[in-house]
Amino acid sequence: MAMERAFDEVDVSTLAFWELSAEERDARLAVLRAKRPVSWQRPAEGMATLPGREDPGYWAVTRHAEVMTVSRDPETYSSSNGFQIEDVPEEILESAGSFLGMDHPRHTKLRRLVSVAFTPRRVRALEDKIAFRAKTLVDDLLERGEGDFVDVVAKPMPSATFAEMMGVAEEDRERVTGLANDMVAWNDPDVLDGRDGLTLLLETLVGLYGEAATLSDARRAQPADDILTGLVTAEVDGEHLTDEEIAAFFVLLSVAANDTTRQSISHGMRALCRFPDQRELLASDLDRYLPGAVEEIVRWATPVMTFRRTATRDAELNGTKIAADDKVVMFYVSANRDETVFPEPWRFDITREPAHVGFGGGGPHFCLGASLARSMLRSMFRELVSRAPTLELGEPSFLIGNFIQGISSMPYRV
Amino acid sequence: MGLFRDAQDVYDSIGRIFQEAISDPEIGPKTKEAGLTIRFDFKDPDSIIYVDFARGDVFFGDAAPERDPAIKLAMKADDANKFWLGKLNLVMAMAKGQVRAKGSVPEMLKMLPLAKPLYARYEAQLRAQGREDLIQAAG
Repeated sequence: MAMERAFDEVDVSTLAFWELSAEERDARLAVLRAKRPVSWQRPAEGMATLPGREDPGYWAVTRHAEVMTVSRDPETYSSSNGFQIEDVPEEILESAGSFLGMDHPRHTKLRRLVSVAFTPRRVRALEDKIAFRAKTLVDDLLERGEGDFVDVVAKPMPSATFAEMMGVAEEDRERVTGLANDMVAWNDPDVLDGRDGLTLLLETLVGLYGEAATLSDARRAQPADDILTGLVTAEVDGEHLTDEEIAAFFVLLSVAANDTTRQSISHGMRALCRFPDQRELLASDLDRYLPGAVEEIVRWATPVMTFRRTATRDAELNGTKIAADDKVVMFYVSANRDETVFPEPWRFDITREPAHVGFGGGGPHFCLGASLARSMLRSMFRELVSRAPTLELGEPSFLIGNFIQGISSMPYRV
Repeated sequence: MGLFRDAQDVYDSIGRIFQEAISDPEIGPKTKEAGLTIRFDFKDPDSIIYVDFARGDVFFGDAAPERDPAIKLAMKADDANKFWLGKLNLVMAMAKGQVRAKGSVPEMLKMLPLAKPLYARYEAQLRAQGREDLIQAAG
């Protein structure tokens, strides 16, 4: 049972907090990292929570070390009782989360079934296309001369990669990407446009399920050489994925693909513009510096800011007693600025030793798409840095929310 | 042809589980507190169930009140049977157009968890009524 506890004076639960700039937010998180790395917080505000729901609060885990500990101890910190900082209704989570919201053995079984579809040959074919796409996207960027960096470069790269994996037709890509982008924007007034967050979540879910059902039926009738065909035919120990399992994975993947790498590309380009010395260093020897730059971009961007677990038993985290059933939220956004791991964390430095938790802190839920994400970022920045040396960016507009660290739009000029 | 003989057959099976929910000492007070009104328009056979959780009333067919409910759901009676047996994924059913919903999504999401504990009871009720056919047909 959760006991009555006082909420920390540094409040990281309000939407007003998440509306602050990343630097302003981190000034508060830095206090927690230094003084109370595991702090008790009042329930997170947000539009994905049912009104009137009882919620005692949650533990905010803000340092790198404890984020790693929680990530790597799934027996104590379960994923099956919600994975968002907000108390999103179970019906939504189950439909949207796939194995992200499961523990062993369901998680292991489902993840294995899905992995069967990701054969090395299919992944290699995707990577070849990624390199080619990066070239054509930068061709387009240069030809236009100016425009919205997000629309021209950051969004199309992961959108097309996801579409190819799932066999989404060219004419449906924008719509599907739009659904995936809107799905994570339940706290953004512009995207909500008068709707409540739960309505937005259900509408986008239903849209993505419809797409998944149509595509799965088509692949069953006529198999193709793509990952979706692999998913409808995958078999482990005589078990297949159900339509609902495929649809839930489709949703998970659409969000994981479209809402993360897109942000890393935007934040990464912005960082290279704000730190011209690093851009110069990277350009001086791409082969040498690119792998480190990609890791630093993921740290810098931290597209997924928070994920939550629930304690299955009493535990202790950095001397703080966690009770069974307590919610525990990992602040990747804070862990990736932990000054004890990343000296001068607000300096963008492509020569750092990579230690970020941008793909999670290890353990069974480590990002399944990490190598594809790295591949997209490598190809994209190889082209951008070598072929668009005069590219300049204007002020971005940021997505509002407590989940994805997003840039909605950002003007560019070459 | 669906699984149910006629509208009365729907009311005796699906209608009854709503009455059970309302009179249940544990679930009843929660549904009352949620205070929702839902109207179900079923096809195959054409039938209507109108539930006023706040007042604890279930109306069938022509007896359904005129006033607009908070939520309107339209589906085949067979799919409603599947839902009450825990065999219908609502999001997928909505995506495929099997279930059409109108009204407040937050209100609907508030009610759904209350239905879960009733799946087993619906199944037991069907068995008691000698309607194993409805259970088997749901897969």
